[in-house]
Amino acid sequence: MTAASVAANLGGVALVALPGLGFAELLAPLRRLSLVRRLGYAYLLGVLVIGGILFAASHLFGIPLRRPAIGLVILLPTVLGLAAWIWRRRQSGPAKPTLPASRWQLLAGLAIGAVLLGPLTSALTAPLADWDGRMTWSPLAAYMRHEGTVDASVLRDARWYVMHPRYPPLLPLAQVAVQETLGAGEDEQDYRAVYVGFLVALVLIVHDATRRGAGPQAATLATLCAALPPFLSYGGGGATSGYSDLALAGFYGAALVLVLLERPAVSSGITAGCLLAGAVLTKNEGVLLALAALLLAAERLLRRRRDPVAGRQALAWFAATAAPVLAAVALLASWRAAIPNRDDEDYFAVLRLSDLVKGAFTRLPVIVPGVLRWTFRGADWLGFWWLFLAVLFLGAYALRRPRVRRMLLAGLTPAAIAWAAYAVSTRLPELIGETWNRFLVQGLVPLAFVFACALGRLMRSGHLRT
Amino acid sequence: MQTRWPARVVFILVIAYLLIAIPMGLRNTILRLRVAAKTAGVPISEVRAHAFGRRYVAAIDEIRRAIPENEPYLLSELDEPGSLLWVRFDLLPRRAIVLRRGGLPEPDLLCWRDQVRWEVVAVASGRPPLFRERPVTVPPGCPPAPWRGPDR
Repeated sequence: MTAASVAANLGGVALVALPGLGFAELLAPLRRLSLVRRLGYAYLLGVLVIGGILFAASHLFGIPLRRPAIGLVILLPTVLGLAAWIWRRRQSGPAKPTLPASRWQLLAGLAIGAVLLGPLTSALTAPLADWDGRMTWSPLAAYMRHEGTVDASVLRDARWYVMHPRYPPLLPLAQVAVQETLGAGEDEQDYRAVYVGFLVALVLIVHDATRRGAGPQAATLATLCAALPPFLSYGGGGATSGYSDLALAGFYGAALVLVLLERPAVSSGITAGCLLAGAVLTKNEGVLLALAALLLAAERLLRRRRDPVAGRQALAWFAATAAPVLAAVALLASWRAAIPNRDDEDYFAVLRLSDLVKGAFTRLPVIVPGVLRWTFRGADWLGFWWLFLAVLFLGAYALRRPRVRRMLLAGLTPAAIAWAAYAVSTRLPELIGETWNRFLVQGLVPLAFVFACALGRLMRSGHLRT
Repeated sequence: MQTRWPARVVFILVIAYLLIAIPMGLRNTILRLRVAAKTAGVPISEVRAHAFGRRYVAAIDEIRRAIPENEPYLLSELDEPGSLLWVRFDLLPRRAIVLRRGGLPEPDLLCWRDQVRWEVVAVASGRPPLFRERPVTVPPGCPPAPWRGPDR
């Protein structure tokens, strides 16, 4: 580890965060939040802005993935956001001071910060050594950077050996942007801290979600509990790896917060839609998770249909949420059309309803023990899910609130996707070990929300105070 | 009157969890910081050698010097499944054509295979890959491969 590599990695994080903060300044539901609560959303939006625009520019217009285009994509939202911030400050005067954090909140924040310093240090000191990062995501980035296009010839000819060539390329593109901007040479992994940033963003989104649902005290405790499992930092799919599950968990969770907890308005719809588009472009499961979020949004829309004014507003909100998702799905489909699939499980192609239904039940004796073993594995989760179940059981009264039930449903959606995959997979026991923990991560924000609400309920009934 | 025992049970469970998880998290951080202190200022080549083995890294560096970035190579593995993925990553962005065991390759692939100058065989994790330069021919009926200029 040299000073230059540390500076480059932190520079990579700034390259993602700055356009994200700029974009967040243009979106009303995020602008209202304090900087700390906004930062998690902004980081993910930064990845989406950089990766999404480069994806469209390269695929649709043939613009090379080189410094001029990347610089423009980074600078434009940063400058626009800064201009909007200055203009607003002039209009409304200095920003209102936020409430000071309590001593316990500061202590919890310090503990989380100290724990997250571990994966950051690890990412800066050790070369990438995880399976999916070396097998799938980083090679995609390397090929795209080398050829300067998302439509790299190596992807489009089946004779070249590429694992999962049709996996969504958002994160590899963010990696390309960082590596290209910083002029990274062979073995210089200047993107590693960007992946640690996904864990930080996820924790910040967990905090914002739980605070909205359960208040500051329960939110502090729930965020602290959720940030501590070692799997999030060091597991295959954690912050030190080059996997995409933390980013997907962030996109999905952040979108759910806006879909289920924010007032339905066009601006909150666009923001949620952008985050769901990020989920679609991050991982294959993203499409299904986005669909689940849209179904929950549709249910919210249906509840408002009787009131003509609120119904119209809700319809506009729903359309604003769905539009970015549809654009992302179309872009992804267009890119994939020229890429022959190979060396990929391709669950969508092999999925047959009869096999799914049959496997979902006949394979339960294999699936259930495997899932339980990995969920309660001490080395990965330190008993977090035992605690989750205990709090949910004893604070089940919180489930009387419809939005808590909806969040629970949203949190269980990744597990349902896993179940479907396990029902049709040809290598079942291994697949559970490789993927189950990551499905748990994908549902972390909504599940932490449920946990915080149950905890908050118990804290009020038992007069527990942090 | 509301009962308070569920809240107390949860309070005890949360405290127990935090008493385990926070010290473990801090311990993990301290261990990483120690490693960072030891490797501060160490060049990346040394870090790679420490992580993957000196002989492995030396072999990879030799292959990188031999194969230009725009030329492909044939890749296969010996006994350890997945070891070729490890080697393939270290040779990026060079493109690989994998030689699979059993079955006959597609005719298109056969056309390309004989025109590839380099062959790499992944042995096992941490062990240096094998490497050789092969004679190149354009098989009858095949066009020259795209990476070969018209003058070759």
